[in-house]
Order: sequence, then structure tokens, then C-alpha cells
Amino acid sequence: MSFLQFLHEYDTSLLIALAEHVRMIAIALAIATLAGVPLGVWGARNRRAGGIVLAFANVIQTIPSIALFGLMIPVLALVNRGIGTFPAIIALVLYALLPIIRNTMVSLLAIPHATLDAARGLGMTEGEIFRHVMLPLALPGIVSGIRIAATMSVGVAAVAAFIGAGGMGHFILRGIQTTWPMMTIAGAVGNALLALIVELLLEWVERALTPRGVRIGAERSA
Amino acid sequence: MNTFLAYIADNLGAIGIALAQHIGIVAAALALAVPVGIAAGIALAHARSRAARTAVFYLLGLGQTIPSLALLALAVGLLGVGLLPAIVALLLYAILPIARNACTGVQSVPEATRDAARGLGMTNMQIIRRVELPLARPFIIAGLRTATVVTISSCALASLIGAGGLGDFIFSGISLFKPEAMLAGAIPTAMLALAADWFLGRWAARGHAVR
Amino acid sequence: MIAFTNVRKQYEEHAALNGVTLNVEEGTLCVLLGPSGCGKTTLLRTVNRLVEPTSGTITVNGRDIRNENPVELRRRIGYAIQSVGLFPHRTVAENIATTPDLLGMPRARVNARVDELLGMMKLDPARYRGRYPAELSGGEAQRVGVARALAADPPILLMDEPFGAVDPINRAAIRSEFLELQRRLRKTILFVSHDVQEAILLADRITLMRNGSIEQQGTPAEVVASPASPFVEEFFGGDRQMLLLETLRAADAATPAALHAGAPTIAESSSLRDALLRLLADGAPSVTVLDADGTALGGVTIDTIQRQLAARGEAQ
Repeated sequence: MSFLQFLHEYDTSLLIALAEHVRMIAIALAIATLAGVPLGVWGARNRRAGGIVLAFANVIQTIPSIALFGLMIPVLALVNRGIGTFPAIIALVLYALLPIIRNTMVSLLAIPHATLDAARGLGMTEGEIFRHVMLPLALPGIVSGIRIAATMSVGVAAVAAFIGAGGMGHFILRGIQTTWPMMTIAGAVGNALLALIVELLLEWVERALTPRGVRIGAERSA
Repeated sequence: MNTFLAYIADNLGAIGIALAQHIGIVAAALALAVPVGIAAGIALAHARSRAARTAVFYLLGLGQTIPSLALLALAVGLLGVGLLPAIVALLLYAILPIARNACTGVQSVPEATRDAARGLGMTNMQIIRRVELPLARPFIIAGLRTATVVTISSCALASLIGAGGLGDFIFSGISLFKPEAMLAGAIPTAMLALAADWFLGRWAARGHAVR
Repeated sequence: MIAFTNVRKQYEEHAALNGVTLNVEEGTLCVLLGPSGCGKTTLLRTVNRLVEPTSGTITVNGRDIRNENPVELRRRIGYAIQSVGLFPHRTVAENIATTPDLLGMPRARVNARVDELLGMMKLDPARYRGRYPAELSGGEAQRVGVARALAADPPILLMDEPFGAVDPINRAAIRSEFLELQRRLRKTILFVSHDVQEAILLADRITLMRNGSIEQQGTPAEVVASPASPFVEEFFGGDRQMLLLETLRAADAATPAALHAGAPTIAESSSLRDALLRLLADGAPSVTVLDADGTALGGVTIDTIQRQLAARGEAQ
């Protein structure tokens, strides 16, 4: 069986695996963004709290994904949710938090003090400063954090196949278990392509959201 | 809890061997990746064409977005199971952050510093060894830190393709649903990654102080 | 008019302002002068409530600012700072339009106002309107910063070293343009500086500060001619006689008796320092001060200058 024949044979299950994979990542990223951006904003205002949140997220990030599953399953098994998409999404959210919180904090703190002082001195309310100055200037950095989280999630979600979460990792697992290289390669290539597509897509979004004046400034200083 | 402690007591020797294997695989991969990565980074930083430099640098970053599991799976698909394909995959993966950081580090050396070294009569090799490498040190250590943590993490997955290591306990624990085995593998793996990160983080901080 | 009464600002252990009482009359420019850390910037920032005093009262046109909404207060007061703080994601026109937009001024009026201000700042509106701050030189950015502060035509301006980040040649040009503008607009301006030359050139009154207190205040001539303390004397440094000459107008000292045919000429706005430099450069016995129409107002000699210094106790 050639690789193309294989793809033809398994097209439906590959598409289903892709859909499962993307769904897991999308849910996890949505949760991580909704939680991480406010945490990052809070961390930028309260440096002590920000430091603690970052250190905690950093520890989670450093723990290898399969080890995190190994640690989580026994705990989640106590409430009968040890296996499947539920622990997978929890792990994905935990991993995605660090880059999102960190990038939100760093982007907000990178706004020059003079810019914020001028905004306040010209009579903007706190809400107007956030909407008209802080958010447009920090948005590309925040999206960059979401991009880093997203590409990482593609890889972690593949590992989640081992705890029965489905997705592209399932092909890799089945291929290895049945020593069928073609299936393993199909899963691996699909997984790698998905990561690259997500990366390129979000890079494009990031560029599109970068205000023109900021882009010109970056080009001039480069 | 008691089952867990009993399991640990029964398998202490096997866990120790798995830990040693894990560290051995990581060390083997890094022993090759570090010199190759640093050399590649320096060469890249000195590349004549700015466009080529930017493009290669970008591709190295793009390579890092490929999930490690996918890379291991490709290695098994192309090279078969066992220790060797695992080390090859880990090694290739570890080169990327090391090369990128070494390149950034060398590029961070001010042109005036390089110029002064040349003016003092240093050869190109001497400039690299005595000026660029010491100044790029914090960046290189940062790259090594990323590479080490990633390799420890990926190595846990490499058990899947028959490389051994702590991943063996996690995977058999998952497939037989034995939480005690999962924890016996997961806890040392997590500790190993955290310890490496902490240790290299301190080393990097000291490097900064020297600068 | 801005009036400070016994304003204090305490930061934990450190007193930034130690009971400052000061009036800035309507239509005048008051320079807050002093070394860094003397409290001049803190004092400036109390006026638009970017800093809240620990005690004391500040009134703007007779109204206690504590009773005003800080945001509305700031929209009525122009604000320009040293690092300019232009919004990098907004064009020059959008930056200048910030306060008019916040006040809800109609679009067409805002656009006209932006062009008018750019013209005032000697920046061609057609060329600069659509540029981003990253595309401006330091001097251009500071001009835009001042234009932004003037945009809503506020009667009061707060300026914190607004020309600090430009090279000396451009700084001199921006300063004299600004002085000309102020002669026309007659805004009430509180202006922070650490530069003695700048203070003497621009100020109607100088307030010299040290460690959170006012050391001396008065017209530039008063402060330079009769320093109230060794600190003030030292602050003006060894150049004090030259600075004093800079505060005196040549036209005021010129006499018909000192007129010499064929003498070099200087403009009516020149200082006695300009006159002295002209005498030295040309090796002439006298310079003639001309008014705008070219009529001779009188002559100035070395003797005239010495008598002016002597009258202020400075001749040796």
C-alpha cells in the first residue's frame, strides 16, 4: 500500500482525528486566553502577584507533558475523570497559561512610562487609556503569547492520545502499537503540518494586528 | 497511598535504572547537540547574506514548533524502534534552540567591540574564542536550558519507541491503569526537569553577573 | 491663574514638597528651575492632579482643584513632557487631535485645528499630518508634543522640559519659536527646566527650587542680580555677569550720546549680552540699537554696559 493509498483509505478517520485535535486545542486556548489575559493584566499592575503567578505557571510549564498526565490521572481518577478529553483539556489549559500570562504582562510593561503619563495628563480616563493606548500597543504581544501556546498545544494534544483523548496522536500510537510505520508517519506528518499551519496563521494575525506606526518603528530600529 | 509506597519499595531498583537511562539518553543527545548547535549558531551569525541569516533563523524557530512526538514518530517510521532513532530525534530537536540562542548571542556583541579586537591584532578565530563566545555566554546557557528541559521531556516520550527511561513507568501505568506506576515515573521525570531548569537558570543568572 | 498655598507632598520617608506657596499670574510664563530631585516636576504634576498633595491648596482660576474631576481638569490644561510621550500607534494628526477628540469636537474643526497647529509649529501639514512618531526626528517629535498640548486651546499649559531631548542647535531654534508664539498667545504657563539659559530666555518669572522648597523667586533680572543665598549664587555659576547682561535689553540701556556713525547695529530685541559680544567681535567703540523700522534708538558702549552692571552691584 502506498502512502497516497493509505491517505485515501483513511481519509475520513484522519479528518475526524484532525477535528478532534483542533477542537481540543480551540477549547483549551479559549479558556487559557480568557483566564490568562486578565491574570497578565493583573500581574502587570501588581508586580508581586505577577511574579508569583509567573513562577507557578513556569513550574507547570517545565513539567514534561506525559509526566503531567501521569500526575493528573491518579488525582482526576478519584472523580472518575482520569481518562479522555477532560484531563487533556485541563493539561492543555495549564500549559497554555504561561506564555499567555507572560506575554500579556511583558507587553503591558513594555509600554513606555511617558506614553501612559501623557495619556493621563491629556485627560484620558483609566478606561480610555486601556482601550486606546494599552490594548492596541499590547495586542500583538498578547497574540504572540497565544501563538506560542497554540503551537505548543498541538504537540501536547498529540501526547494526549495516550490517555484516550483521540486526535492525531492516536495514529502515531496505533502505528507504533501495530508496528505499521505508514500509520505512524501519517500521524506525525499531520501533526507537524498542523503545528506549522497554526504557527503561520497566528504569525499573520499578529502582524495584521500590529499598528502601522509601531511596525514602522520596529523596522527603523532593526 | 500505601499501594504507591509499596510499589516504590518493590521497584526502587528498576526506577533507579530507568532514571539513569533517562539521564544517559539526555546526556548523549546533548553531548552532540551542544557543540554542533553552538558551531552552527556562530556560523549563522557570521553568514554574509542578511536575508539568508534571517531565513535560516526563522526556519530554526519554525522547526521548534514541530511537536517532539511527531519527530520521534517520524524517526521510528524511518529508522525503526530502539535507542538510536530516539537519540537522533532528540539530538536534532535540541540543536534548534542552542543554535538560535548562540546566533542571537554572537549578534548581540557590539560591532565596535569586534572592531577593537580586530584592531588589537586578533585573528578571526581568536575573536570568536576570546570575545564573542564569552560575551554570548548568557545566551548560550539560556539555549542550553531550553534544550535540556525539552530533551528531558521528549525523552519521556522516547520510551514509546523502545528507548527506555522513566517514560516506561508512565506508559505502562497508563495502559494497565496503575496509578502507582504512573506516579513512580511521572514524579522523578517532573523533578528531573525542574531540577535541570533551576540549576541552569542559576548558572545563567551568574553568567549575567559576570557580564 | 495658578495659586499654590503651602503645598506639601510626603512620600513615606521623603518629603518631595515642603510647603510651597507660589502664584503664577494669568498670561505669564513661570519657570520652575532647580537641580534634579528638587521637586519641580512634582510641583508641576500637582496642578493637573497627576500627583495629589499631602496637604495644602491649589487653585486654578480661583477654583480649588480638589473639587474638580481630575479627567475634566486635565482636558482643560495642556500638558507637554520631556520624553514627549507621543502615541506610537497614532499618526501626528491623531496625536494632536487627542484632547479635542476626547472633548467631542466635530471632525472638521479638529482637522482644521491640527493643520493650524502644525503650521504654528513650522511643520508642513501636508507632509506631517499622516506620519507616525517613529518617522519624526527628535525636534519634530517635540514640536508635535507641544502642538498636542495646545490642541484644545487650553488657557493653562504645563510643560516639563519640553525641549530637553533635542540637540543644542535645534533646541535654540524651538525655544525662540516658542517664545514668539507665547508673546502672541499669552498662555499661563508653568515650565520646568534645569537649564539656566532656557529659564532666562523664556521666563517672566523664575522660581528656583531646592529640596522641595522655593529658594528664591522673581524676574530673571532680579534672581540673577541679587541671589538670595549661596545656593542660588552657585546655581547660576561663574557666568552670572553674562547671565545678568542676558536679562537686560540693549534698547533700555541705549543712549543717544553713545551713537557713533558707522557703528555695527543690533535689533531692538537684543540683550546687553548680544551688544557686548558685538562690541568684542567688531572691535568697535559702540553698537547702534535699531527698531523694527530701522530707526536708531541709541548707542551702547562698554561704558554703558559697565554702568548697568554697577547699578546692580556687579562691577568690580
